[in-house]
Amino acid sequence: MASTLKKIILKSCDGKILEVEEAVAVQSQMIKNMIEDDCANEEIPLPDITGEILSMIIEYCKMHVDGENNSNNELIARDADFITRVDLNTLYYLIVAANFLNVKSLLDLTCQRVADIIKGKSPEEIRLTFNIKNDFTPEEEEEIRKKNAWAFDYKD
Amino acid sequence: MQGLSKTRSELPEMLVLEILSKLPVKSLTRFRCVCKPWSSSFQTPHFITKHLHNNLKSNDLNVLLKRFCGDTRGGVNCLSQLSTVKGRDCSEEENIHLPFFEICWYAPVFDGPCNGILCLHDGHDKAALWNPSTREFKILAQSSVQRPPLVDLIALMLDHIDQVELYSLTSNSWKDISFSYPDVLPGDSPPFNSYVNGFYYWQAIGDSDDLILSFDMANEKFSTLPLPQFGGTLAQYYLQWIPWCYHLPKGQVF
Repeated sequence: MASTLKKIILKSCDGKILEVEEAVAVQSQMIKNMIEDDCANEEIPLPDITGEILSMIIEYCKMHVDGENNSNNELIARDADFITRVDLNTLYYLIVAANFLNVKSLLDLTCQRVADIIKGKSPEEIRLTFNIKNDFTPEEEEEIRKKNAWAFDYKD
Repeated sequence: MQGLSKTRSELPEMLVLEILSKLPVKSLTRFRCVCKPWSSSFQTPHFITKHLHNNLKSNDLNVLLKRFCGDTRGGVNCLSQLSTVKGRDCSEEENIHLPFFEICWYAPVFDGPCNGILCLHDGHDKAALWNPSTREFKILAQSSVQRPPLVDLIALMLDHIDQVELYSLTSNSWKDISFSYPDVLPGDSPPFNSYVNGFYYWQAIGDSDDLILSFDMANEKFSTLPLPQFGGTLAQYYLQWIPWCYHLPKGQVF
């Protein structure tokens, strides 16, 4: 039991120190690898992750460790509740942090949430959202639109 | 979107593609005209595989219905696609028109699906690949083999029992494959996906026993397996691969 109660110390880029149970911390594949390599005995600095984002990630990981014995449907409902509370700006930082810490299920959840938000948008709205310059000529764009006319029927 | 817009330029391309790989096919098709890099990214094998994998994990279900309308003289096959998206009602698209095949009661015949792609043929010399999700339709090059009318073309490959041809998308052509089982007669391809892990399977009749015939797509070789000792004859069995997964694969044909 002793090993499961071991604490891992994480330090965010804005100086916040968080003590996390090892069982929760190893939800991050990156931290798991550090523990296995015996590199997690000191505090682990996370240069690109703020305290606010780190707390949310720990909340998510804790939810998954605590809910290990719950049914799949209960976990899906909890995930949905967690992710719909997050605004888009925060969602962006969560994606980058989940990718850095390698928390696969959180990366999937956050990316799926953005996909659900953008799926009904027009190409013009998408260019604005992702700050993308249209490099097609009007003729080239028209040809793609013509070939795929069915996809421009906005029912969803 | 305001919040995301502020930081959008910092989102690494790899993570943008991660998001895009979770979009429905319809949105992805529409976003092909966002910019050239996106359009080409969507066509890389890596992205296609990732997108397919993500789609198989979702609870969305696509069902293709083929029904016969009218009588054998004047009737035709009608196709409809039913889609259920998580949390939504079932939507139906009626009377999908497939080009190329003559409108008749027996054609087209469907094989597959394999990775969301169906093989369609008319039992004679016309064959095509169809992706119902993207509506892409590819007519296959004709084989040089002369066929008598209405000989069964089984699952892309079998013409006569003594001659087998394999179609390659890369070269858009057919080539002869050695078939050294003169006494084995494969039955019709079953009405479900019998392509598993690079092998295609048929029920077959051997000279004394019923058996399973398989084709290894990578090594382009046939082999046979005995049927389990249950007793009875081949006609009493359906060969079926039962996937141990939680969701029905997308594009399943019933």
